[in-house]
Amino acid sequence: MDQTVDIRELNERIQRESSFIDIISMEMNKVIVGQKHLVESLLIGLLSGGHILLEGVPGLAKTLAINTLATSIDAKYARIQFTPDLLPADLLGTMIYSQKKEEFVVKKGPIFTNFVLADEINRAPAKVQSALLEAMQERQITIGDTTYKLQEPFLVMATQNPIEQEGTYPLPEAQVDRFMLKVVIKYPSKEEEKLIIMQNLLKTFPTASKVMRSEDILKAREVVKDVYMDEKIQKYIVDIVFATRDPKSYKLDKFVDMITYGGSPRASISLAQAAKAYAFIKRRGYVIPEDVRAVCMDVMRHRIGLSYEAEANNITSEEIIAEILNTVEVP
Amino acid sequence: MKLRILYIVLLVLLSDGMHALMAQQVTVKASIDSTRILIGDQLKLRLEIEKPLDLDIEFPQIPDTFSSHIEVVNRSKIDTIKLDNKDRIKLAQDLLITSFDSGIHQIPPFYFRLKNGKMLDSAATAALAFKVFTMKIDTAKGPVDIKVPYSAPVSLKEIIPYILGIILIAAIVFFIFYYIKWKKKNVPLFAKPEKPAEPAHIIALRELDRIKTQKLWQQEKLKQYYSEVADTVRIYIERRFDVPAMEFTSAETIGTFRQNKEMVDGSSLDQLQHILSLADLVKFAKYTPLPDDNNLTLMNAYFFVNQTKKEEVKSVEKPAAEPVVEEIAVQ
Repeated sequence: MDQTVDIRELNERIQRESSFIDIISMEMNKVIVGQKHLVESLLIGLLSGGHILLEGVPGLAKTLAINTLATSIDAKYARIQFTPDLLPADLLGTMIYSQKKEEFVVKKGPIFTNFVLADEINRAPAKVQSALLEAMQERQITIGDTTYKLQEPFLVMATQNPIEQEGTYPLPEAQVDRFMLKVVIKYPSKEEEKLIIMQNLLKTFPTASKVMRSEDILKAREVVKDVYMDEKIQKYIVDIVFATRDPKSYKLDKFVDMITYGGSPRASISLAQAAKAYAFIKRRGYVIPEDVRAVCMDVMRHRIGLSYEAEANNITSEEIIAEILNTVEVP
Repeated sequence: MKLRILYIVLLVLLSDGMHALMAQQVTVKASIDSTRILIGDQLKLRLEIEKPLDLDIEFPQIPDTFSSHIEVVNRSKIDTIKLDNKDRIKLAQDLLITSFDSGIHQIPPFYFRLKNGKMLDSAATAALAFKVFTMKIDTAKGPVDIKVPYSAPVSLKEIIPYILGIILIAAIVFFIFYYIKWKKKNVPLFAKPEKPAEPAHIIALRELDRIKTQKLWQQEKLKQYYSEVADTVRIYIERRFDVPAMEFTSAETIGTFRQNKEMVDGSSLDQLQHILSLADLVKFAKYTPLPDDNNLTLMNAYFFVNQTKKEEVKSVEKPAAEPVVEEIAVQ
């Protein structure tokens, strides 16, 4: 009986703490037309502390969406345009000689902020991409002999363009895995596009106002951590991730030669965290299978290695995940 | 003195007379079936003796070779032939001989030993000769290759092991293919024939009866109780409507029925929604329903199955054909 009270209490707590979701969504919807899924995914990343990789063709408001989210929160924000000549020091910072002090002093880079917009991340070479690794995973930066903790909330939101291959450096698997979500942005609908045209013709570009403090996000994250996840849901998550590793065990023999590697344990962790955040957004104190399914595509799509055979047959990771979700039994 | 000489002369004459008498009673003969053979060919030598019944004889001992040119390949048993004259008998033995030397070869006489009481004598066959000639060599053609051995006609006895071997290999290959095929299908190799499928509602009702008798919620096994009720309904939906309810979330299952209103009526859908949503709460949110809810859920499950079951169409036997009465219109 006590357990039931806990959930009820948690539900009430969530109702109280999640009111900012509506406000932040409203602010974003003022600026971004449509892209409901994108807004939802950004909120999931924000609430679960997971980094987000946005992928889409140019002109789909990837940068604008991240910009708007960062603007609507009263926190430090830095936009870094990744270019082929960018150096790790440009991102992290370096030691410079101070003539005044007659010693080397640390010049912190733009990554020392709350929200980092790594725009067109695949335009920078691998060494710069790798420089992000420590920051993304350990949430700390080492310059010289000193390690600096990054202040919370720290969130990397990166964009990349899937169609240009020349002059780009595909992200290594190790780095892609560090992004909790890879959100693929699709074209807006006809109605949404008409609205975008109208806004542009009238030159009326609404701007987002700051509606939230970074402390509120940290508080919300604590509530998200408390969202109840039953053992059955955990098993469901494990089944999904294991199906990417060993499709044969789940009667998905056709994918045996299509997948070179499946989701890592980090995938399971991310799926659980993202499902909790999604349940929070839906004002629920517990996770249901719908939550897992809702975030599964964004969490898993960049964590499945496709073989040449899959590429030759035009099989995408999204198709594999969809088939897995249709095969693995829901608890 | 004269008397002694006379006695000796009489003894010699008597002895010669006895010899001549025995010799007259016995006829020996040696014959060959050919006088010309190709080198290595075989010919038959027949030894015969015709003698009185009471005369003991000994056949000549046949060596393995005669005169170093003739070889004995085979010896038959001594054959006894009755003659018209009942006091006499004929004995015969066939020898198979060959020679690998060209030229004219002599078969020496064979001596049969005769024994009449204490009298010993012998009878010899005539000597024989035959010619062994070699292959004619066409010197005009020059040296030629050695001919391969003639292939002897193949008998059934020789073929049978090969036939059995082929059948055995074919059976093994068939068994391996059969095994791989069934292994791929993941079904037992020697499966019992499947029973005719029971209607979905029969299985579901039986399961619900089982859950009812187990009294799970009364034993505070709420989670198991709701899981089993929900799973029974979901399996029923899968079999009855071909909707993959086991792989669908509750919302997806309800959504499918809402989209296809012809599948179930409104009240059944409400019952289903009640079952699944309450089960989700118990399974994933540690919710403890009231005892009435527990009973109601099971009742709803019974109602849902009974209201949506596919009615069996009983085949009605056609009545015996009635005689056709032709109506003739009377004008």
